[in-house]
Amino acid sequence: MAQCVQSVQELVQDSFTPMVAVLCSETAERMSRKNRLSFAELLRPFCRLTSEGHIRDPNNVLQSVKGLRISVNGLCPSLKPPSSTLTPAQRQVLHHIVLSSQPQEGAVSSISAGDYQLSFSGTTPWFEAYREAFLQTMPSSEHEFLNHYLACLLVVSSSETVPFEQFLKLSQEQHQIQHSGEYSSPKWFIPNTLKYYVLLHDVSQGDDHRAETVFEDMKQKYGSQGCYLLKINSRSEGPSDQDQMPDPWSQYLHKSYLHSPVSAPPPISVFFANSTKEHKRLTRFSALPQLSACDTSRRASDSITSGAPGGHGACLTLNDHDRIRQFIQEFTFRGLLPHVEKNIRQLNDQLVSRKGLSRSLFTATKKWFGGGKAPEKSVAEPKSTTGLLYPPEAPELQIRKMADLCFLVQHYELAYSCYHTAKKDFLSDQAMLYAAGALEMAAVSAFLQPGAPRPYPAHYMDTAIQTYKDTCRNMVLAERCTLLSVDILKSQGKYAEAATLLIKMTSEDSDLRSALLLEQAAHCFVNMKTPMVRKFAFHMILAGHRFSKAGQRRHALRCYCQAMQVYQDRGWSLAEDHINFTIGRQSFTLQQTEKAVDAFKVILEKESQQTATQQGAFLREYLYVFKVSEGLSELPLPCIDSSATRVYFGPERRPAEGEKQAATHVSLDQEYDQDTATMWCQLELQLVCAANKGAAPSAFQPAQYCLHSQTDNLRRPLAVLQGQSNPHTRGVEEPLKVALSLSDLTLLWRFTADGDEAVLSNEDAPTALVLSCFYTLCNVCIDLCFCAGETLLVRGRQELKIQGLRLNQTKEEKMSVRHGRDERLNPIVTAPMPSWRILSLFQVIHQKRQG
Amino acid sequence: MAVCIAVIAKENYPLYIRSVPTQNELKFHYTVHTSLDVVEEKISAVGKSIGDQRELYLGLLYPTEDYKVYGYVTNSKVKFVIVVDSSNTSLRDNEIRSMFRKLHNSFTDVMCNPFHNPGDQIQSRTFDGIVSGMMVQTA
Repeated sequence: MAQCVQSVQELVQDSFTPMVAVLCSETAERMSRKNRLSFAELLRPFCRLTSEGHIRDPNNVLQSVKGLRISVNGLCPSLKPPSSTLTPAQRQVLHHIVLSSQPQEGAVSSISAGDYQLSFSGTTPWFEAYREAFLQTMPSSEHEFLNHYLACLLVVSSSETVPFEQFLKLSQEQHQIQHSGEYSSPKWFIPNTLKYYVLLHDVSQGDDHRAETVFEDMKQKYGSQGCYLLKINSRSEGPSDQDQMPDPWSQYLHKSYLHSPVSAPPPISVFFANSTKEHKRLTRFSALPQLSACDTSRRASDSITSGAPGGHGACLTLNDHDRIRQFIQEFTFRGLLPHVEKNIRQLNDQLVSRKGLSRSLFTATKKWFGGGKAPEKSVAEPKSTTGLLYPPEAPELQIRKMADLCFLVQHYELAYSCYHTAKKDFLSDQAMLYAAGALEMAAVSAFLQPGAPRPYPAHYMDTAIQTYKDTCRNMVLAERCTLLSVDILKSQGKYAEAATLLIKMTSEDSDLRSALLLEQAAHCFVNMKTPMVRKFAFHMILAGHRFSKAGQRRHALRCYCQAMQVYQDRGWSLAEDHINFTIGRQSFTLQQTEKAVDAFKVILEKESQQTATQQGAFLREYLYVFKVSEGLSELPLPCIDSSATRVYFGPERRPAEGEKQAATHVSLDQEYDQDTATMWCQLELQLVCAANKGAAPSAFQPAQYCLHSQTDNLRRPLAVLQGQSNPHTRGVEEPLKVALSLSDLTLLWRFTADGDEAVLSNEDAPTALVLSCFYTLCNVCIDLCFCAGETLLVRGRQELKIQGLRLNQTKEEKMSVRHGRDERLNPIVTAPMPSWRILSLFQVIHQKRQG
Repeated sequence: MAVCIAVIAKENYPLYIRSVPTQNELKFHYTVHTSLDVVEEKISAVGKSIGDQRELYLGLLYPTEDYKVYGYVTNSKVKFVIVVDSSNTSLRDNEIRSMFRKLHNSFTDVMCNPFHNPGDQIQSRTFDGIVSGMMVQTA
């Protein structure tokens, strides 16, 4: 698993937080709207408590609660039953989250394992974003109570004429929502939900004195522990210097912004608590994760009215921030925690009393009359596919509730024992879904227990995952279980088990999830003590494949490139070709044509062991990409053997004219014979000496008309212009098994004038030049036209670079590999010179022989 | 009967890979390459006691859903990997061992050939013949 920002404890604790609902009156909502935030959003940045709370467990031992975080959401009841899979809209949201989170440039770490040197980034922020969003969108279900609402904040503004009436109305409303039985979500933990009354006071606009008096009355009525006066909006609305104010809301609202453009919600009727009977109107969750739906819908309507994003909390000063923080603290410590404590105590008493008496009776009767008679519980309620459904008052569920409460306030020891008991009960009743839930939480609480008195029960987690997947067919819960247990295993260093779990979880139904999990498995393999680099590469390839199926092309490309580092130049040519091919394809779809061309070129250049059809496919792809990319660039095929170039500089050779035959044997096609060449050289030397009265001029060089690999090519030859072209031959090799047809071979040249910087060439367009001074020719290029299979015509070029012979004379030349110059292709062009052509008569020789 | 047989050199590049031609060869290449990790792990684990007669046969490396992969390493760190179809349950451990022994013998013969450079791809017809005899026969 890649390194994550959050530690395991933080992750688990953040996934399961006490849930608090918020019901606002209209005026109160308008007050917080001045800051472009709903009331729930206003509270959100302050929900992580910095100080310690205390709570007594049923044995009256004081436990401290550190770093508690609560989760505040607006109340959005809905009639839809919760599903066991993600809706397509939720999937889309997750898809966009992963799409928008890309790796940062330069954040790479390098790992060396054996003889592999890899460099890739060790963190995967897209996975963390996905995980966070996924864990937040978990639907609440029957078998667990961790995301049921514990309390409800009722908020009324102090500018109301009769605040108590409002409070009463809100309270009735909440009661109605909870108990009417119409709404399937949200779910409530206890029938007697804690109600906390908040009087919201607008400092800039309201009357302080009046607010205080109302608050005093409230305290009389609801008790001082049950209400609070919150003062906000110290600054009046209007343009002000907002740069100084910190904006802690943006990170929480950022996700809502991601959602709203994606889903484009139709005008959603928000459930406001007002006097008209509007709770018949449904809140439609068109495309949004359940928990933040209300806020997002309000944000949508808000963005219609207010326009530009940003600028949250415009009316709040730092004092207000502090006040809000204090409010949350007060609420948690004075309201929520005592409420939880009371309930734990109650449940505990119930259980102890029941345990003593009725449980033993019940189990006894089961034992004696077990065979024919069905247990009385199952007669009462319907059987679901996952086994039994318990009524809300069943003792097993009470145990589970108590365990959940303890877990939420960090009493892990008590939670563990309760979960353990619950698990036993559920298993004996064959209620598999409940049992799996209990197993999962038991394992987690055993892990989180400070001091680790017992070893982590990994088999609990495994059984839980297995049960979720096979018996209950609930992939969402199974996925959550996997994510948690993988993190726990990673923190214990057990990477191999974590990888196995991750791989087991990949399946056909969700490409995105499989891709992310495979990538994490790959990271696990690399983070082991002896890194299994090849497994890393293999799983990266699998992950890349799934990413591309899920439509995440950039992630796919990244995975393949990382895997390539392992396979490159190792001799596994088939695999390497496949990866290069896929990289090329992906780069092309991402408009990175350069990369695509490079990748394809590598495939074509080597001696490949692929079949002919496969090579044909490669070639077609390459040519297609090549056509799209601009600029004339190098073609890898055919392979031209530059050193076998022959250049002919002499006059145009006409072998025979009637009976006359040219007295030279030098031609382009001729085979080279070392002995005769030396003979001619010496003859020429003698001739020149004779012409120069006995001494050879110092700048003598034998005239060579045809230069090829075996001649001495150190000096630049002289090319006399006579209005003709110099013919060349090449050696050509064809490494592919596919037939290519070449057409339109032309030579490109470049001229540089002596002492003149101008470079003329016919690379861009063939032009005719009249040359009348000294020029120097340099580098020759070739222009090719390809035609392969379905007549894909491509123009490209290849440079001719000739490497001279390896120098072997001096000692240092022998020690290093150095090549001399080869000036075959760099002739000096001079003005026309007179030339003789000697034709001999065949008969002369013939006569001589006879004579 | 094997579905894929591979000979891998000490430097972990393939000297010889042959698989049943009807199936996707790429998949076998990947499987063999990945199994090298497991082979290395076993070698490094076993090699703690020096001087002992090390077990050459490594046994089942790992089972995937369709195939089982077996490994064998020689004293010169050349590895043989055999991939067998999982549905073929009639193959017992002894048979796999004998297959490896045959492979090892014919590989030694190839190495004894004075014209063969160690490190080159294996191109001997006898070796090919023995390998074909061990692979699944397709019609």
